[in-house]
Amino acid sequence: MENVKPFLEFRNVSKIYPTGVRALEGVNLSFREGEFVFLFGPTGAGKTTLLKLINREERPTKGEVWLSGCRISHLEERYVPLLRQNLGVIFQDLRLVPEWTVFENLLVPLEVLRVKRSKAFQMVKEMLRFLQLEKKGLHRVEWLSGGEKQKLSVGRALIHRPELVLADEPTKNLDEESAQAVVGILSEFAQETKATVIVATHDQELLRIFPGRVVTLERGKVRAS
Amino acid sequence: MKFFFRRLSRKPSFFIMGCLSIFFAQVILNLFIFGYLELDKMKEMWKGSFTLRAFFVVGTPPEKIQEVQEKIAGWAAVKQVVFVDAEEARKRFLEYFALSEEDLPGGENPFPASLEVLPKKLEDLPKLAAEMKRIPVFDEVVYGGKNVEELLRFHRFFVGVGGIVVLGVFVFVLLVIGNIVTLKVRFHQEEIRVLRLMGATNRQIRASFLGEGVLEGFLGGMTAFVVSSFFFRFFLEFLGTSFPTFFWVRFEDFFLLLFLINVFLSGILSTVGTLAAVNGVLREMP
Ligand SMILES: Nc1ncnc2c1ncn2[C@@H]1O[C@H](COP(=O)(O)OP(=O)(O)OP(=O)(O)O)[C@@H](O)[C@H]1O
Ligand SMILES: [Mg+2]
Repeated sequence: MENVKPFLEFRNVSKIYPTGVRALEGVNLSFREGEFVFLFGPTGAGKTTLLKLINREERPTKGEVWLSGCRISHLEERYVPLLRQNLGVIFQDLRLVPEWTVFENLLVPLEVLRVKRSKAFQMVKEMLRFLQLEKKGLHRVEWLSGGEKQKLSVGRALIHRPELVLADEPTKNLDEESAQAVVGILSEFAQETKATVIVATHDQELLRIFPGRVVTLERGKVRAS
Repeated sequence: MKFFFRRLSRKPSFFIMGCLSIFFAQVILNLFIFGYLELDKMKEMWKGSFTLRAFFVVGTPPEKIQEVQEKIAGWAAVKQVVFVDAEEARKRFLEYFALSEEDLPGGENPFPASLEVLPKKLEDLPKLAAEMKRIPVFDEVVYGGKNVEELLRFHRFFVGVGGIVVLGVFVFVLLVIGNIVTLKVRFHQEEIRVLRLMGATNRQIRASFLGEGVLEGFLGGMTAFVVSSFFFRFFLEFLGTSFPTFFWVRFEDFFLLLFLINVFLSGILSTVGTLAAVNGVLREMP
């Protein structure tokens, strides 16, 4: 571990929202490539904020965020799309397009990356099979159940095989069995592709079942790593 | 990217509204084009009837007449000068009223010789008349007078006031187009946000709306062209048979103009409108 350069690094990062809320304070963290990490903490601890600093939805008030030798906290605006194209994100509020079909939603990351149409269709079909949603490919997202939507958002985050996956409460609204299935998918993906995966959660049960590093956040500070 | 078909199939009403607004903008413009061309044609027609006629003082020597004719022919505003001698004037008079030689008492020819002056531009007629009056060899200088001035006034009125009204309506329709496009883009705001989070560049997002915009412009413009063409064809046919003595614009003469304006202008309108709307929404997003 000592000799491996960190893949993702937070250097003394603080985030104070314009409202005055101190979401993160002096966070120092580093992640190695291929790590499977649980970001654990109660509601309002700053988990989502921390993930948003990685995909540049937010910028730190103080400190720096580095990814693969690139200081992404200070990345020029025009390179942000490039950064995002290489991430797979499961948003806490899913961010699916409800009027579009399951198929179309899965296609978005591939279209953004300009993957050839025939290849993209093939990949989407495979993903539908993998998620066991083959029969719902042409259903609109607004017609899906909560669990199905959650699975779909996992699929969309993984379909373009990103090197870094950020999963914000991917088990929210799911029963225990489905929750474990979803984390199972992420962990399987990590093992298969050697991707780095960060899962934000407040579900202690998951930490017990799945092996992985646990980073605990509390009121914007890292409690244990 | 095929987002366009996705949006179109889910929310066709925006597309239809876009097409319709372009359509109406073009039809209004087409009517104005027609009116303008027709008026120009009328002007052309009346130009022939309202020739300036200058009568020589009886007894003006032929050398003097020749000299004056050459001088006037040299003026920049003059297109053509024709000399009509007394004999010719008499003949024309008889012809015009369908009289025979016997109907006219013999003796001295009462008709003076004259010059027929055709100006290059109808608007120059009053000025030209005033200038010729200053030459002492002329007894009298006449032209359509009031009629010509009225026609010119009407022409100015149409091009001026009519133009402003049509321009106003046109601007209004442009605003409608702009608002429809903005409404559409705003309606898809959430989707744009998702695309951005997935790493779509502004250019990709713009392009995804542009396809639809261009198609809207093309369809709206083409429909306007087809509908206007049919209307003008039959309308002109009707005018031609009902008022055969007037000159009407020939449809063939402005068919191409109509086509080019309808297709290109609507293409430009919808493209610019779409780009402006998408840029506006993108600029508002963090
Ligand atoms: N855009 C924002 N503007 C102002 N305050 C914010 C904003 N986003 C988050 N906060 C505040 O920052 C703090 C941390 O929020 P964050 O969403 O990161 O917590 P979290 O750990 O993800 O919580 P949860 O488990 O409920 O999702 C909270 O107090 C929240 O109210
Ligand atoms: Mg959160």
